[in-house]
Amino acid sequence: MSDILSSLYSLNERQDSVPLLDLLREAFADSSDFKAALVGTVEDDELYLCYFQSLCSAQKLDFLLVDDNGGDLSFRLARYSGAGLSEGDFQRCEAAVCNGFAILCKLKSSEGLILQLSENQQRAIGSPITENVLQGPMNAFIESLDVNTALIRQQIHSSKLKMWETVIGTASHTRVALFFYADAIDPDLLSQLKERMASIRTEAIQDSAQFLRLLMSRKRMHLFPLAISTERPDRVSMDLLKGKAIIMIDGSPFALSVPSVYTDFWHSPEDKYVNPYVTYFLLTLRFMAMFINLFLPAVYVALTSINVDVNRLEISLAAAASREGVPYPVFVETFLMLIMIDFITEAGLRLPKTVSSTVTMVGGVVLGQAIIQANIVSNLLIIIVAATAITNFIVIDYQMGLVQRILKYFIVVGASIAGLLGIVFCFACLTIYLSCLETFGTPYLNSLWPKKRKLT
Amino acid sequence: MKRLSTIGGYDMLVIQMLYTGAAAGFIYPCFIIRSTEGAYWIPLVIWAIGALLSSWMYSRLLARLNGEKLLARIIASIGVVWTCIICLPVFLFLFAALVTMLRAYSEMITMTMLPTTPIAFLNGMLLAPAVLALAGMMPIVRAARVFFLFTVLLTLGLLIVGLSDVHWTLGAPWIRTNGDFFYDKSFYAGSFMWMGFVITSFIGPYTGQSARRAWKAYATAILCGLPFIAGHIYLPIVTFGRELSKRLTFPFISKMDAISHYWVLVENLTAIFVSVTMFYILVIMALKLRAVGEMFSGLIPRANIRIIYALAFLAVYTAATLLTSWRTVEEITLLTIGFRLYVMFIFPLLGWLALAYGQRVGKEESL
Repeated sequence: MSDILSSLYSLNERQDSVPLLDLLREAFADSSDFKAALVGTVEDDELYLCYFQSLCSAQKLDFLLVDDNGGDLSFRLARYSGAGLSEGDFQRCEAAVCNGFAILCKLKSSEGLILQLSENQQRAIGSPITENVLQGPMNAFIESLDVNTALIRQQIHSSKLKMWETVIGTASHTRVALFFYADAIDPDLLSQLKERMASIRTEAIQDSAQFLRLLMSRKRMHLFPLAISTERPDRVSMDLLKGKAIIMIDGSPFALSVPSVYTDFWHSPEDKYVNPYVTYFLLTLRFMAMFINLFLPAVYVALTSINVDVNRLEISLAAAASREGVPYPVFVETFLMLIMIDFITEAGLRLPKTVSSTVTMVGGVVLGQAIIQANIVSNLLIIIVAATAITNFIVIDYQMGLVQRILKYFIVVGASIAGLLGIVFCFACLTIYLSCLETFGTPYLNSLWPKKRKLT
Repeated sequence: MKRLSTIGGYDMLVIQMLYTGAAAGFIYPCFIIRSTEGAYWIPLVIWAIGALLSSWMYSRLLARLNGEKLLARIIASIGVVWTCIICLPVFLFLFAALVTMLRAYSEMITMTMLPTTPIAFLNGMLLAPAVLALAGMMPIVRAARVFFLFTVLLTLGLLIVGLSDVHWTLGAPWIRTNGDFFYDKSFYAGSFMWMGFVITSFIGPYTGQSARRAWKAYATAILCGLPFIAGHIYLPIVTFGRELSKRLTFPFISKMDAISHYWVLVENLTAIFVSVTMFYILVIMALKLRAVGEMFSGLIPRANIRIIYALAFLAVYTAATLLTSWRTVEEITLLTIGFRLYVMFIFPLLGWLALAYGQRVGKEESL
């Protein structure tokens, strides 16, 4: 390629400045994968190719490093097939090397040519791992921002889909992209997000959830998740058309949808694909599951220890009979079992899939049976705890599920203090807390039913 | 709140319905039952008309605010000293209303569900409304919307279930009245039932349009709330008869206690009623605390808003804890009749005059 050759001739060689090659060698001194290979000579000056062996494509490097044409440099350079060619000083070249580019420079030149020889290490596009797809597109985001951008653009073929990008992290230099649909987004939200993203000062970002914490850092810590984290492009495109902004970072397969209100966490993308009546039924089921998950253990504590008279006599007698021989108060018994079921759930999540089913079986069935026979807890409580655990898995959003797991303990404490009134008070406090929350200027308890946007 | 907080018609309806629920259930029925030997719906309707008149007067006053708050506009018109003088009864009314509501509810809990729990502990529930009031009007509205979904359905369910085991003849006379309730202070003591609009008038800015919208919502809430209120009064009457109902401290709770059906999942419906009432109480106490807070922040603009709410919380909590018995609560309700009538009918007139005076002075100064 004659362009490269002519650019090489014109590379700046200032006598007063330190050569680029020396600067690069010094900067990457203790990096064993950094290479500065002699590739030939130009005007009696040695020509070096500097690159990270781990980031550059071995195939792409072949054009320059493999000498199979009798050392003719111009012939080898002509085989360069990368896109883009630019000159750069030390700062630009250093950043380029870190991003997988290669630098072609002369021994004494203060500038170098940046060649696109990078090779991204990424997995293939597959199905979502954390969200089960029952109906709809089966592909999921991966760790490459460019691939993820393509996946979103394949869902919305419109010029109104915009993308704003910035680099965050003094060490990681992570690319962060903000997607929005021009006709739907609230301009205040957009400017607020850009301003907040530009003001973030951190060393490195590894995941989008970490980025959300940085976005919200000016506010106090929140218990509830304030943005939906998803790896499904169809959900992202739906949210974009609803007027939400999507934040993605390079290196994370999870997109953040902001602002997300409380009810958003209870909607699944499949709700749009099935019969509306089925959707309403499923939504009702999810909210029922939420209430059962939050309140069932607490109701058990209240009805068997404080408000015994509220229940029907037959049920009260049955509950008392099942607790016969149990040495602990109801509160301790319930707390013990809730902790136990959370241990099992956590173990099931952390262990490899091949082992987790065995652990769940051992924990759920064997331990449950043994604990009843040992008279540590009542039969009724086993039913209560099992129902609580099952209903927790109905929660669509993982983060919301975690919050529910924590909250039920507080409500159990409330029930053990003031019975049914304690439960009601805890629920009221929870609602009050939620009504005070805001996510990027939008009230967290915005509406129970999503508003329909008029199409223009 | 960064955005301008605007309360819609539905929000106002929700708040006023919750106010009805917070006031109708426990202390109100015994006052109305004691007030007359004639038909009970007549004093109800008379008070409803009175409430509509009072709210109309307030809406005319609020329509003149042009996007400002009521108290700020009055201060601008007649100065802080005169504003303090005409607002003192309003403050006393709000304080007394908060104390009696908290104490009455705690007393009801002690009598029905938690007999051994100290009143001082139960009064601690005021903390949640105080936090909500501090958060602002829109969080109150959002919480109210959620509570409304649960409470209205449950209250309606309780009233429907309460229709069992009734003897309609016990409710007679259904039409006849001799106006005896006009001479009974219990009739006037029940005035707190009809003051929902007054409280919301002291919160937030108003324009002509929002004042009209608020009044319409309030009128709708009164129409929707009347059957609820009547249910709370008539259900004990048609179950136990007039004489027995007069002697009961909580006639409606006694009615709830008397319900027993094999198909009702719970044995004790009183527990459900008391639990539902908690939702009403928490929102309305937050609303009243907000009104107190806005009043003080208007009069003392430099005061720290957190300190105002903390002091309001402490004052109400202490006063409610110091009240010795249920009889004291009833006496306070009777003693503060004058304040309530002043706030309902005289204050809007005074406010209107203050605004007119301020306008005239402004015109004279501009000339």
